[in-house]
Amino acid sequence: MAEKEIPILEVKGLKTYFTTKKGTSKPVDGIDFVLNKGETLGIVGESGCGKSMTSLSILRLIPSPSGKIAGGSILFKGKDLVKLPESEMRKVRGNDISMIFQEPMTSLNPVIPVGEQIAEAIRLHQNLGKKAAWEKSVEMLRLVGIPSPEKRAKQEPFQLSGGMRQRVMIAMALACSPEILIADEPTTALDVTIQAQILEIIKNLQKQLGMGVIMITHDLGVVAETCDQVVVMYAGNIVEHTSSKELFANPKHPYTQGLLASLPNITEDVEELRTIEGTIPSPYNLPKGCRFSSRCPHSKDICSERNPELFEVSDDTKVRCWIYSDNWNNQSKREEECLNEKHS
Amino acid sequence: MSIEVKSELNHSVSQVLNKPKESQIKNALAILLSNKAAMIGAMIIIFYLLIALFAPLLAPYDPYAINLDNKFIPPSADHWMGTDDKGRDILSRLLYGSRLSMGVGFAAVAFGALFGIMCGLIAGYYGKWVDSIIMRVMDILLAFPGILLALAIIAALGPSLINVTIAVGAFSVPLFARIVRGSTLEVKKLEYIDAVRSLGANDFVIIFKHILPNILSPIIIQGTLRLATAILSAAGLSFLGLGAQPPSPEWGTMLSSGRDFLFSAPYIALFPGLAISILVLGFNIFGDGLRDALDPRMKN
Repeated sequence: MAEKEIPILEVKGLKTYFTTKKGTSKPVDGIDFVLNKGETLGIVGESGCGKSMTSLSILRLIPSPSGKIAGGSILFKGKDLVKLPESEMRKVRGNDISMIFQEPMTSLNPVIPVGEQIAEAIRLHQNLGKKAAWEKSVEMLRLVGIPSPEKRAKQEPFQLSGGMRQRVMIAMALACSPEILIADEPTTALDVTIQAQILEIIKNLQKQLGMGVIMITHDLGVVAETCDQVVVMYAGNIVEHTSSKELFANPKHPYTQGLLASLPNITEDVEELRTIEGTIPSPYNLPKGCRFSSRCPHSKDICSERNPELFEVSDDTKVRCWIYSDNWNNQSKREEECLNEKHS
Repeated sequence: MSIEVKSELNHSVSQVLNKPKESQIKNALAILLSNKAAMIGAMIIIFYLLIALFAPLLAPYDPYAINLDNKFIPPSADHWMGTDDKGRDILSRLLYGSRLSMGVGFAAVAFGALFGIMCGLIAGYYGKWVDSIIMRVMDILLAFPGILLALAIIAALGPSLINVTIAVGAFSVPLFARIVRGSTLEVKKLEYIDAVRSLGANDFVIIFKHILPNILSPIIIQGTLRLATAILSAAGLSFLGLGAQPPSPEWGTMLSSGRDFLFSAPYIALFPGLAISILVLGFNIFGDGLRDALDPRMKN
């Protein structure tokens, strides 16, 4: 490869704001990432950090009228989705970019047989007859590993188990061979054994179809199993952007370190699991400085004064923390000097 | 009784597992079939529908034939329900009249439901100012007592059976709109609506393919119950001389013309009155049973 391939998705400075009577909330506040073909990007963070809003923003499905993309761009193969008219956007949804939702129990229309729902997704974007679309939907069900798909296609959602329904959702999302699949916590609502199967299916289909996957999760196990690069979000910001390997081997941001430390360790025998003290700040009232400063064990004066930018620590790792700036050591020195002065 | 219903239900559920389609319908049907009152209501309705369908075959006489020699004959073997002040056979008139009275009821509810569902779907789905405007108009319609609104509409359009249909339909519109709007608000928040939107579906597909089929139960229930009111109101308006005009055998009109002979020949008014009451009762108890079957949450 002489030249670097154009990424299929490039998010630049994306901001999604909600205006309500309580004020303006900023669940997504200036995030950047790049997704290449065939790659899996993980977005990790605790509830309310803006990861789901990021994915809904990409498909422009933020609840209106309160929610709005307030800035930035989302480039899909060079085309800015933020500026696309709604009718063009509909052609992108499901056809170029699809999404799997968290809750398989409620993500299917309860009164329509599942095969017909998949066929409908196909017919929205492809000029196929009813029968051809039906055959393709049965084919999709077979692809996601549903036994006797001809029979299952005729059944209604309530006759299928949670794992089956999530497979149907995947079949529906992949029916038009999209280039990007956004999986919003696809395994959270499922049993652990089914979780592994579903992840396996997504991984295999990704290989077959060569699509890019954005895996949104709060489960670091899922990240370890599936992702190439990882974005850690905290209160609407990306706090660490690194490769999956680096994340586990060498977490840089204090928040990431806290997250990993709070995972139970099989070799240790402890009474209580470790937690990160405090809670995520309200998106209506974000602190002036670093958003993690109130919970950070290394916090210094500068942390509550200014929000750090993303510092590039190595080729594939960026961290939003003052520790990785030159200022940090000066700060420390100054504080030490202050202390020394007091002592003397 | 409730245990009986439950076992019926379990039975139907196990049947459903083998036969996938029509599952919910079967479920509801099982509950409905075990409800005796609803079944009586259904039988009454079917009986009336058959009469309306086969009136020309069943009627012993011409409903319009005036025979002044035969007036005021009390119920007898020749004339089961007697004859009226112009010697017309009341039974024949009742049989033919079922077509008019029920026709007006069905047409009025269909009219009301069509507009009400449209308004409710649009208001509920789009929300914001669209919702405010549509629902305020509905509130204004609801603020009038139904019969008064109908009177006003007929005063404007002139008395005729078609105008009665429009008038009675008009005061069903806000009731349908409210129910449909409420259900739409509930359904549009569900995740599968987001899911179909994420697949690129447009508003039309979402509203008519994904929202409407999921809110059919309350619409059907409301429709059945409204039929009773619509038939009653239409007969009432004809009784007041605002709907069908004599010599039409519409039940309200017949009731009205029998009013003058209430003491000398009570059967002239009695039979049309009974016909209306029994039909309305039938729709009401069937509607209640349907509600219990289709939407158990609405019970109590």
